[in-house]
Amino acid sequence: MKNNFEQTILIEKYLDSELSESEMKNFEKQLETDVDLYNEYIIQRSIRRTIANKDIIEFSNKLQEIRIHNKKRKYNVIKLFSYSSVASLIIIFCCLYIFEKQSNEQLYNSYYKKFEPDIVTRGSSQYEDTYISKGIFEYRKGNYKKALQYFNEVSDTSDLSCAAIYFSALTYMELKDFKNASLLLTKVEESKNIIFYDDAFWYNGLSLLMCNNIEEAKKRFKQLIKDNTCYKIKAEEIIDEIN
Amino acid sequence: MVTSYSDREIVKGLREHNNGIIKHLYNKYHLIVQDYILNNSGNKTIAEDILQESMIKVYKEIRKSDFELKCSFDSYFTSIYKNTWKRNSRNSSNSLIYDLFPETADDSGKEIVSKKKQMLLIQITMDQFKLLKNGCKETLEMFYLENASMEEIASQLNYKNQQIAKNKRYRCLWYLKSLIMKHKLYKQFTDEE
Repeated sequence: MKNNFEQTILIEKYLDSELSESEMKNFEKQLETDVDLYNEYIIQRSIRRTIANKDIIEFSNKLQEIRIHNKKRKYNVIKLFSYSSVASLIIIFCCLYIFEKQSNEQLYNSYYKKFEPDIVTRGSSQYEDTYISKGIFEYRKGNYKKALQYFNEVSDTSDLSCAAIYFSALTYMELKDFKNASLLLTKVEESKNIIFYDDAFWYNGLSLLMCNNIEEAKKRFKQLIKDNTCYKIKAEEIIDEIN
Repeated sequence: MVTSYSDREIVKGLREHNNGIIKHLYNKYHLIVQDYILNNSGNKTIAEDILQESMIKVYKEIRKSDFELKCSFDSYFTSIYKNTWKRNSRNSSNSLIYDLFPETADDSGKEIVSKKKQMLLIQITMDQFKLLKNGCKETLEMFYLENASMEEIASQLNYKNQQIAKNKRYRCLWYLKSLIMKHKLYKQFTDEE
């Protein structure tokens, strides 16, 4: 499809009702026969409407991010309750070793839980939500490299790019590539994305432990404590253990 | 951390896309809407769709300059989600695109672009819009989003006169179209279904 400047102006004048009656009739006749003009007209009309509703689309994108994030949290809570009796035993078991300092790897294994999502895209207005859904689907199946491929399809300028970076980081953690996981999680932290902010600090702290970068790990856990997040108690335990 | 907001704060926060308030409202009404939908033959997935659609509806009203909340926000939102559910339970189609772009067809009612392609084009446009510079974003937003006149645009963006502002708008639109055609996913839009 061509993108002709004069044609752009003609289409705009038509859509703004600035053409005379005869010019309008000519234009509509051309639309019926000129496929290129027709396609340009469709795109231009869509662009105008998209910009006119830009704020609504951005608002809708934010809601979709919250929806994705909540699904992740929900499954973490369900797992917590369903394993509560096992957790009690684990706590007792851990108390027997209260004076024994854990290695970084042991700490990581004690606190890391794999993300088990179930993403639904029904009613979604975003094609990139499909990439994220497909990526998470592959992640669940253990096809981590394929998952990363899908997450990488999300454009850097998309409103979902932060979500894609975040889920890529979690995938790297499953691949035990903690260096890349930490790099990506640091990007999420710097974006100050409200949805993933606390989680990014948490997982980055754990990844940095595995990279043996204790000071940077401690900074993350201390921030989680300072901000009074849902990770506060676990972060305090880890700090105590490290110290 | 603030756990409750006044109605005035909510309206202002929604208008300004305040992430904290949006998240607060979403989480506050999530189970309320879910309970209502489940008790009315719906399911959890539909409940989430209804919640999102209702919040978008509220936002579309609030963004109007003459919007005035005439009752509590809670009463207002309750009536919105209940009406949204009633309308959706009668109508099988519930794509959000219908609310954003009620005319997915031309004026004769014929669908000219599939919903999937519409959504694709919208997202490509949103992506590439961010790449605009040199006053293009401001010019296009003022004209299409804020419905500003060419005179207002010329004055605010320091163009010499209305005609220059108009030419700028045409150039920016043409440039945006060329960016859209260069997007890696544009090929999907032009491929036959």
